[in-house]
Amino acid sequence: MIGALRTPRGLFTLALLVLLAALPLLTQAFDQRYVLSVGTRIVIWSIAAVSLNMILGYGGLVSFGHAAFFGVGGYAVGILSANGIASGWIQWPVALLASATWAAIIGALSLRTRGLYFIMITLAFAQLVYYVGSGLDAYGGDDGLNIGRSRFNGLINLADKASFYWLCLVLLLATVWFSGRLARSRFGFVLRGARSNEQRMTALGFPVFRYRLAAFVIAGTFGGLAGILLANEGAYVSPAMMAWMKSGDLIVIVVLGGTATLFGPLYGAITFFALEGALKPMLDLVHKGWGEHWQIVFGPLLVMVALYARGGIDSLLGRRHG
Amino acid sequence: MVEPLLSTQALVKRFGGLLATDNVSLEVRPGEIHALIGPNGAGKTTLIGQLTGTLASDSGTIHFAGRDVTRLPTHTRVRLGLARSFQITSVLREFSALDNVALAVQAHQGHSFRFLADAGRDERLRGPARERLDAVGLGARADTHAAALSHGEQRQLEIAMALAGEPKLLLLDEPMAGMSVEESQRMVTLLRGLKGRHGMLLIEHDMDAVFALADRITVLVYGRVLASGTPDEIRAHPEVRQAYLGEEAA
Repeated sequence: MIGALRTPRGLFTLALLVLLAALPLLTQAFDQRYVLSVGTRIVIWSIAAVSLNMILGYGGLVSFGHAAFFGVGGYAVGILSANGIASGWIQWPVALLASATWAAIIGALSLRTRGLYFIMITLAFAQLVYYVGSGLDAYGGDDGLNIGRSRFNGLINLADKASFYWLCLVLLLATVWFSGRLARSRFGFVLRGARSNEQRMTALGFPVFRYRLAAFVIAGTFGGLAGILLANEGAYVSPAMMAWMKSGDLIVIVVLGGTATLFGPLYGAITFFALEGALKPMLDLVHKGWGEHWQIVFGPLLVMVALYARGGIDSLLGRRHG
Repeated sequence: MVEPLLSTQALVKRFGGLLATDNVSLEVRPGEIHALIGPNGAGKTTLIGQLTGTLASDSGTIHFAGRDVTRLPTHTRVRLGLARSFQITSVLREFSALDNVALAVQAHQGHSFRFLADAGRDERLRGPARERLDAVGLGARADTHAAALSHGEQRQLEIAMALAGEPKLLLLDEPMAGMSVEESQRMVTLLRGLKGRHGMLLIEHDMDAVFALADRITVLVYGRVLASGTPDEIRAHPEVRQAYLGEEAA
């Protein structure tokens, strides 16, 4: 652990974590409250990206429907809140359970397919949730729903921007920690082995489907956690949070940062939002309205990463230990 | 009379109009090497697929270790003591040789729904895995990526993985395929050393290896059993000589 700090990678990661931990103090000192809300969203998206990495990176399963868990987690909180149940102690477990259940259902069906079919079926299920969300007229339909933030009576006030940010950061670090342990556990070895050679793993006696399903449920639950946080961040839920482009963005973030790496999804999320934040105003300066199309510049950058940095941003930091 | 370890009765597999396995009945006794030979397309690999459970049989039964396993899934059959190697080398290429065998060991230590403990430092996995690697002569290559091993070494690694669960029966699909003379010689020695402890169903085209190792031989042609018997009986069998052995037996 101490030895890892002497490497450029270790120093970089440590510096990044210190910066992230100090962000609320910095934004207060420089009176940039908007930056804190961007930072909060990056941290929440990182949780979702780390969870997607569990199945996409370690499992080799390209799920194109991960944003659905933003929706399931978020709407579970939103619907309970709209019905007068404001306690986070009830909302959060219900939302996590709903996410896990949804993951179990779509996992059980979609994990019977492979490759492109898996991508398409996970996308289809995510679209299903999206349209269900749109159709919930009692809960705002397409316009979405303003909600109260989850209450943790006296323990923490989620309306306080800095407290909420730190809560999100702690949950992100816990997710990263768990993801790292998972990857090196017996379970993780089976998951990674099945990515490498499914036929061999079956012949060794592993019921591969069950392990993949379990990974899918774990990833979906953490995805739901990100949804809970996203709903609390804006005190608002809408179908837009689970649009298929969001699932695409999550895949881009994981690939950009480095699949099957510990901090890659975090690097990816920071880079993605930093580029979005920088490119939009720059393009708008060139011509009003062009900022909306920032991905015209981002796309070629992504192609460069795919061509020249196969392991994503993580691989630019040098060789990994273990 | 020894109870057979593996026996099939009138096993059938059809692919559309093609009868790939045609009423095959055969037995493997504990500790013996039973060789399965036959020209390409005779249905040998199909039969292995049915025995391991990756292919469903259309009719007939398979008994293994005293149980009817005809309808059991692959992982259950593996638990009962069945292990296989593949015609085309099948290892986990991105993992070290030691990791490969450690995973094979892990497959036999109950379920793997353990999420937190570091399996890469678990001596209950690494210890037995190192022993297996030593047993097949790969001890010095433990930390090498499987992809970086030579072809012959990868075949040895497959054997080490197959041995990890102390299987009662090894299904070996052309273990000498693509090997140099020297490498095959080493494999013959290795397999001979395992005889008695593990039953083996050996598919092999290298007739020198087959006759050097096998206790009994079954000849498969067009999915049917043409002949079955001791190496001497097979060597003397007129139809076998005509259909398959050709000059090799002369």
